[in-house]
Amino acid sequence: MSDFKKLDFFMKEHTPSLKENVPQFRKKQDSYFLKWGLAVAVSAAIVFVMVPSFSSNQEAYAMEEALMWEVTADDLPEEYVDSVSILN
Amino acid sequence: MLRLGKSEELFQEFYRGHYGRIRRTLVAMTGNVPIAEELTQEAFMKAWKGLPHFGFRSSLSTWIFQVAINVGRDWYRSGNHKIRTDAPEFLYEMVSPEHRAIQDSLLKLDDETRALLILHYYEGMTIEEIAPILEVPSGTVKSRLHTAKSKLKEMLVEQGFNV
Repeated sequence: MSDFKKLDFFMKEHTPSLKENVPQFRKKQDSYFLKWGLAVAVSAAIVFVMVPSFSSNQEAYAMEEALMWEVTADDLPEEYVDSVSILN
Repeated sequence: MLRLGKSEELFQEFYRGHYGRIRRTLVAMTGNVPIAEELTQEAFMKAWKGLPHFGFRSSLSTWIFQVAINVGRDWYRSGNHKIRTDAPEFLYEMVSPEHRAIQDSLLKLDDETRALLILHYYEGMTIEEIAPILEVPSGTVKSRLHTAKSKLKEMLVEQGFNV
């Protein structure tokens, strides 16, 4: 078969053989999974970051609102009293 | 809506997985893309109809190649291949002069030799994989492959390729 080394090489170069197509297919599949894996990871990261920050924002808003109604001039340092007294 | 049975679903999956390989084999066998596509459909139709008699003596993959090679041979023997010379250039799906020379050489060989070389070079099959498809012993495939390569080499050399 050694007589056909050049022929084998020529045929491999110029025919659409399966051996060349398989890695391409695998590569496409890999990139497909990579793309979807990345999308899932990014979505998970967004949910992970956004949910606690959303709830902590909610807490901050609630505290701010509570303070808005409960704070009086007596509770504040002197330098803020003038501005608070205007509101009162 | 048509509800597919289990065997139909499996065959559909098998069809999707093997369509490309069978089509490529038949393009190489016929040298004509539309004819090869028609024959590919025919091969799968025959395989589907013959499924109850298949008996799993070989793998489904080996079997579909057997059916496709036979469909290709039948088409060639029917004399229909003569239409190839009238077909326009773009139907050949050959991008390089080398590929065209290979295809022309293959078409000049007898159908047994052509099928053997296609399975070996286009499908990258080993002697052991080719033997059950052509239904001959491995030793016969080996000796026929040697002869087939010699013929192909000679034809390509005649066309000016250093192989």
